[in-house]
Amino acid sequence: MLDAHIALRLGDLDLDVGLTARTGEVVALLGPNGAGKTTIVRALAGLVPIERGHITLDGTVLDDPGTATFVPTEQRPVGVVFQDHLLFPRMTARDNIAFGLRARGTDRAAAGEHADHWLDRLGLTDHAHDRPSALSGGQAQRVALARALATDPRLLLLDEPLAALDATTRVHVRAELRRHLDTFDGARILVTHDPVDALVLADRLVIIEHGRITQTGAPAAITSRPATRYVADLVGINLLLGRLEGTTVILDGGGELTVAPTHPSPDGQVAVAIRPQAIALYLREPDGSPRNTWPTTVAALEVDRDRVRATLDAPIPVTAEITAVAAHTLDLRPGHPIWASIKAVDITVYER
Amino acid sequence: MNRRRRPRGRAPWVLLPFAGLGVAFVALPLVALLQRTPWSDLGDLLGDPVVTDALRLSIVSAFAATGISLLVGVPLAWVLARTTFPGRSLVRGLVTLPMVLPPVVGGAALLFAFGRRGLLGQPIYDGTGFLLPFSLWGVIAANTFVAMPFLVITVESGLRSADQRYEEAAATLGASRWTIFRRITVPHALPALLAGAVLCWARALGEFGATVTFAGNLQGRTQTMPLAVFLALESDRDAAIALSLVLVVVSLAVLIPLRDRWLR
Repeated sequence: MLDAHIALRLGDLDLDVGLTARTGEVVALLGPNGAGKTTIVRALAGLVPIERGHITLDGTVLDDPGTATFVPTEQRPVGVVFQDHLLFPRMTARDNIAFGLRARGTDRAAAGEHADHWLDRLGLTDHAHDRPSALSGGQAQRVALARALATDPRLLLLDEPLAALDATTRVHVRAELRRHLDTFDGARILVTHDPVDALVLADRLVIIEHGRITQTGAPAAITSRPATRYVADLVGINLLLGRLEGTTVILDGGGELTVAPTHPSPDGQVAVAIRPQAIALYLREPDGSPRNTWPTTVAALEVDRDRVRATLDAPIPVTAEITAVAAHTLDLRPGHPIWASIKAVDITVYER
Repeated sequence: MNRRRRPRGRAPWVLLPFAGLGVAFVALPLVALLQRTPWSDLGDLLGDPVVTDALRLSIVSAFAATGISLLVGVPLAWVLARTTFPGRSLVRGLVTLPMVLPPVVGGAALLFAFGRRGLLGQPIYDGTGFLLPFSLWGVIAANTFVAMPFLVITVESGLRSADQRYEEAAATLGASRWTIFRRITVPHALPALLAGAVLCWARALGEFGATVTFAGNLQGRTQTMPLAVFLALESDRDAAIALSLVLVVVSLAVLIPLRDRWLR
């Protein structure tokens, strides 16, 4: 169990986050570049001291400026899989994996045997005597994982473990990593800027922006109810802010939406999430039940294979996603007038 | 488009005459040396004890100076590259001073420090009777003084450019600072280390000014090759040429194989 409150300043970064990870849990730190994710990993590993707060792992204090406690990196039961893996280039895969045990005083033979066990476990036996430069991205990643786990850490940190891989290998390695992570019983913290990595690998997401946690929760909760524009954009969902009055949300940016009856938050301040697929587009004013129908113009179009995402202008700036066929039928072009509509039940309203 | 098809590294024409001039300036004196070499008497000249003594002293002292420089210079380079302390720029300047200081001045300064009446030399002499100047140890000291900076600055820049994240990775695996230095830092800095050692050795081999000032010019005891050459130029020109030739051959034998690999 990791319990940490990490506060420090580093250059432009002003970091102040509380972080917990239960034993066996995979927590993903997700955020834009420069948000402080890597600094959190470095603080947990003892590569940078914190200025305020504490880091406690399984009841042992690793860093606490208040009591002047600081356990140096080499004495922390923390394994790290670094971005770019950082395998030692002059050592074989086997020696890389054995390095941690050798450094901790295990004799050469026993450390080598243990490394062989890990090589076997990760399907790397054929590459035991390869230098890192001879390994593929996926193999290097497995060696890095084995090297970090070989010393039996209580906390495993993975800093953008998939960032160095090309798109095709990534899908494969991601699935593999999920499998290997499941066999490790300590707490795991994964840093990534890719929402797919986070959604596939993590039990819980922690969103970090500008050195602060802006949202935390299960992947499903975060994707359906993003708290910030960053998260909404990341998961490709429309986020609007407004004030709830009865079953009407008066949007801060102008316009209003009718929503299904919901429990209002005390001050009426709400966030509205709308999936792009839930917004329908018409050439003429549609008939029928949708309560929210409004004329607008197409601001921009973005084609993604057989899908087209249309960004709509005022009064309600949202993105609609329709099939390429539908876009063709509607003859969608930037600047064209269009009718947009959304059913009240497709709008998620929640406290902000 | 067309430009991209050209092979890389094609020099602008205007550079070539200057580059040629540079090579000629170095090569011509060597050619002149070869042209004046008394090839028929070479065997006798090289067998002369003056030559063999000087060669032995030069090789021994250059290697000893390189060894001492490695022992002291590598830790020094590490401290300069990786730590900050008040007065660091002063120390960095001081360490490289012997590179710009006229070697004769260095030799004189060594005398004031380690001579029989020197700052440290006198207490040592009074206590033990050991005298550094005018001995093989003096030659080694003079060589080290002049040559070590070449090793220090090369290794220091090698350590600076090394990716320290590998050392951090080693620390997360439980490696102590000493283990990291031994197993990660030194192997990563090996090219710089070898380059520095070669430069240091080459500089020590050619050392003249500090050696003659501090250690004197005693055949069989402190007379290294450059000193013997200088002395022979006055008395026996053929012997001087033979000695020079040996120095050139020894230097090239070390530099040619290493230049492309380590001294870039």
